[in-house]
Amino acid sequence: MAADNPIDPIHQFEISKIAEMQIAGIDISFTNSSLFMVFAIAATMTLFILGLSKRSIIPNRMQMLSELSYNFIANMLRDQVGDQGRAYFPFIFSLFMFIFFCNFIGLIPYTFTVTSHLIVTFAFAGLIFLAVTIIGFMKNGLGYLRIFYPSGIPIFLAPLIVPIEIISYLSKPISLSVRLCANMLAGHSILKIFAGFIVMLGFLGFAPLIFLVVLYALETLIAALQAYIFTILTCIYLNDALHPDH
Amino acid sequence: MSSDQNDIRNLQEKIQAAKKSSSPDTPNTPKPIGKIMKVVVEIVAAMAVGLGIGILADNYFETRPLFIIIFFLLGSAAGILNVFRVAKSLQNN
Repeated sequence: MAADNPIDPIHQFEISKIAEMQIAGIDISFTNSSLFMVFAIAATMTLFILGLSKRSIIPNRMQMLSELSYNFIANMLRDQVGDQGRAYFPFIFSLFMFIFFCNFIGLIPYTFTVTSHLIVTFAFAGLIFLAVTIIGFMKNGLGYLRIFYPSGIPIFLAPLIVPIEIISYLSKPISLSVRLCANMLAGHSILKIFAGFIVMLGFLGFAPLIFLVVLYALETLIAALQAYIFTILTCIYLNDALHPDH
Repeated sequence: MSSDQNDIRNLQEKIQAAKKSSSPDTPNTPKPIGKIMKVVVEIVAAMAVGLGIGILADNYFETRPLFIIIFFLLGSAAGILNVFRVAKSLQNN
């Protein structure tokens, strides 16, 4: 059905195999999603290799960009986690740059938005959740279980509070991944739907065109904002694992 | 000479105005759109987890719909708790 209709806002999310591969019956084909992940990594590396190759005292634009992004994440980590968080800086920084570039590459027409697929964002969020839980138990031992029983609560309320806290804890990776995915999916669908209106309305299409320009600016903001929110929430979860008393 | 001083004064005023407009607390506070989106997702995620645990428990003990009801209510409570925490962190900022 979708093939008959030239205006198909969902088509952009389709996965297509570029090179088929199978290992032990598991499909590990190189898809367009994988290709755009490679693009995001290549963009990050290009930015830093070009930006930091000269290392001049008066930085050029590329160097400014790379130094600004470094400082931005370093400050975020210091504000949220403190000095203990420094060990995790490489991970947090790579995470931010990857999501940031995935979101931004997806804004270019005819590209694929990696972060619009729930499985991709959930893989991230699930890994972060597992890592943070393991870090929490490594740093605090079994004392980490205290986060499920906040201090100052009478013992007869424990059977009610503890399950609620556990569900609240387990909902973290889901809310983290759904937020990023839903924002990307909804934003890109709306962009394509309004682009379709332009074609359908013919001459009157200038009205949705104006709206589309505004919407595109908003999408650019959301692309940056969602990368930021994903990263800052990772920092907050990390902080909870390192300092469960707060 | 006096025109130079005027220029410097003008520049100083401009710098002051620019400093005012970019107040120091702006870079660290996310925009309200993101915050609202965050709150909505928190409720839904907690409910989904509660429901999921309920369904798994019911399938295991074959007591449908007992655990679904219990855990869905607990999940809703957890969702409210999440929203409460987000609101708190908003106020602190």
